[in-house]
Amino acid sequence: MDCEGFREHIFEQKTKKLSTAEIKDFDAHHQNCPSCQDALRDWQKIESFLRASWPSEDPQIPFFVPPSRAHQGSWLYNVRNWVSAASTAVLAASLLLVVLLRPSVQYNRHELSFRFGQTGPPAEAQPVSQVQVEAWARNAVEQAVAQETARLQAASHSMSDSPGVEESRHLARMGVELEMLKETEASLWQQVQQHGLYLQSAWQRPSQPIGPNRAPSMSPQ
Amino acid sequence: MTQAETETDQQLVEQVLGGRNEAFNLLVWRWQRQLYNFLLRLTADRELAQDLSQEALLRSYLRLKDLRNKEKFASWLFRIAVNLYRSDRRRPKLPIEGSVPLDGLGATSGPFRPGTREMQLTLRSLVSRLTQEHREIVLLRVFHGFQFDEMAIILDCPVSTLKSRLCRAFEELRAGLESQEPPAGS
Repeated sequence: MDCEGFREHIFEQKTKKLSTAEIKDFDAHHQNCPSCQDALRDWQKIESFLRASWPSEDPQIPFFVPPSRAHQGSWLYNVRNWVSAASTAVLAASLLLVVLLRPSVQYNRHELSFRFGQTGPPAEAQPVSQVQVEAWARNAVEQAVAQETARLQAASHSMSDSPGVEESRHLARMGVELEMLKETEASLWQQVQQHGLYLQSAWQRPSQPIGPNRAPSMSPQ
Repeated sequence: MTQAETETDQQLVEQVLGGRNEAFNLLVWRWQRQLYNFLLRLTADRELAQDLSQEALLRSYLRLKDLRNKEKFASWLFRIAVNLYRSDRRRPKLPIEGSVPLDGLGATSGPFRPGTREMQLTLRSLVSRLTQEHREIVLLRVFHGFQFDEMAIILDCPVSTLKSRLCRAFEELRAGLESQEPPAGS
C-alpha cells in the first residue's frame, strides 16, 4: 500500500469497511511511514476537535408529523367512510339524472308545470335575404296604401249622392287624408331604405349575428 | 426497548407504506435531530436549518412510495435535504432580519488553544471556508458517520470522487489548523 492509498483508507479505518487483507496492509504501511502516521494522527485530532467544538442542538420547533390514521380500523371510521362514499354517489347520480332528464319548470299566472325530457329545439330561423325583406316591406306599404285608397274611394262613393256643402267638406277632408297618406308612404319608404342599408352592412360583416336585438333603433321621420 | 429502537428504517418505511402512518413519527423522531444539525452546520443559520429540515421531512413523507431501497431511508432523506440546501443557495436572497446566524462564526480572533472558545470558532470558521462540496462531505463523515456508499447516494457522486474530495478537505483543515496553532514554546 502506498501513501495515497493509505490516506484514502484513513477515512474508512473506523467504519469497519476494510477487508482483513486491507487492514493488514494499512497497519504495515502505518508502521513504516512517519508522514502517514502524522496524517492519521492529524485526521483523528481534527475529527475529535470538530466533534468537541460543534455539539449538536435540539430543534426549536416541533417537526412535521403526518396525519394519524389511528382510527382506521374502527367501526366509526368505516361508517364515516361509507357515509361519505354514499353521499358522493347520490350526488353524482342526481347530477346524471339532471343531465339525462333535463327537467324544465314553467310558470304562468295560473299554474306551475314541470316537464322532463329534451324539449324540442326552437325552429331554426330560415335565412332571409335582403331582396326578400325589401319585397315584404314594399308589399306591406302597398297593401296599406291600397286599403286606405279603397276606404277613401268608398267614402267618396257614399257621399256622391249627398248635397253640395257636405260633399265639398268631405272632398276637402279626403284631400287632406290623401296628402297624409302620401307623407306616410314616403316615410315608410325611407324606413325601408334604412333597413336595406343596415342589412347590407350586416352582410358585409358576417361574424356578427343578425337579429332583432342588434338592429339599430330607427325612429320614423 | 421501545419500538423505535428495535425496528429498522426499512421496517418502519414498509409500515408507513402499508397504511400505518404513525410509523413515520418514529422515523422523524429517529432522524430529525441529525438532519437538523447537519443543515445547521451547513447553513450556519438556525431558522433556515429548521425550515429545510421541515421541508425535507415533509417531502420524504409525500414521496415515500418512490423510495426504492427502503433500508437507505436515511441516505435518501439527507439527499433530499442536500438538494433543498443547494436549491436554496442558488436562489438570490435579501438579508432577512429574523434569521439567526451562529454566534461568532467566521471570527478567528485570539490564539488557538484546544478546548477553548477560540478553538471552536476557529474550527467552525475553517469548515465554513471550505467549498460547499468539501463542507458537505466533511459534515456527513465527521458528524454523522455516513459510509462512502451512503454519501455517494446523498451527494449523487461516485465514491472515488468523494474520497479525493475528503482528502483535499482534510488537507485544507490541517493546513488551517497548523496556521492557527501557536508556535512551539510560546
